[in-house]
Amino acid sequence: MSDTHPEASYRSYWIAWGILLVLTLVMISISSKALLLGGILVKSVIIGAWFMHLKHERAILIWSVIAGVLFAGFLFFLISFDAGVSVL
Amino acid sequence: MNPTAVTGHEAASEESEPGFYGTSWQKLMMWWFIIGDAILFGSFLAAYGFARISAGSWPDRTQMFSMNFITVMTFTLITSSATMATAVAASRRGDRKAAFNFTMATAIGGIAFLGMQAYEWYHLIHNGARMGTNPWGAPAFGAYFFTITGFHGSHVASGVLILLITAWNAKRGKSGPEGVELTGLYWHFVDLVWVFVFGCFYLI
Repeated sequence: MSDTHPEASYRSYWIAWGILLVLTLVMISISSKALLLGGILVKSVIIGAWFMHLKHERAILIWSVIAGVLFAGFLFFLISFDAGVSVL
Repeated sequence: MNPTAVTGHEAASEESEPGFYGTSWQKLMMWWFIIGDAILFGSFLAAYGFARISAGSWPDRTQMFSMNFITVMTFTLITSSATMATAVAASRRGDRKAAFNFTMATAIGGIAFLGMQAYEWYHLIHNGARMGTNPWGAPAFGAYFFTITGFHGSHVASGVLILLITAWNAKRGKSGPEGVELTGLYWHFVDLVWVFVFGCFYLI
């Protein structure tokens, strides 16, 4: 495994943990919807890239995951007109 | 997979041959499952967004939830994700004892989260929240809240079971680094879904 995954240090995970906690604290104290959505995205990228090791995977796998997430976003886009809003 | 497709790639892991995607098929299947599950939750949240916008007004979150309590729940889940990542790293180093300990710590975090969620549900139901009605406003709130947090909670519950089995197997040496990593991928995904559920129900 160490060939495909450079040995990750315990420390990097706990740094990511600290960043996630701080982000959570910041997010509960703000009310701007755009900033909150941005915070959600930043947190997902940290979890995906560090905890789930996506940053060590091949581009094809990374893009497969991103395509799945974009598709989920597209579902909301499709129905958002019926809800009577333009997205954001 | 055609071996020529992996030319230039590092040597295959001892467990299986990395193919086009550069990972074992086990890990690839776990990722496929995660993408499918992400679309499921994406659809749920899209439906929730639709219902909430169509309803015009929505129950005031500060009236219904104790933000301090929810923040503790969130911290618990994030911390369990960090212990899980540590368990995976320990397993890769061949440190079975640490892999077992950190996987168990993750399971305990999951159980604590479930306990807090059960308490929160009890509190809301006690105050009159139901699937079809609630004392705070738009009746659709209950259906979306209980369905989506319930679905997430059931993912946590099955995750705890998988964690306990993985911890046991890691201790006995039956589950190698990849086994622990697959469990880790699932657990981080559960944490990831909570980021969205937390954001969409409790913050926005």
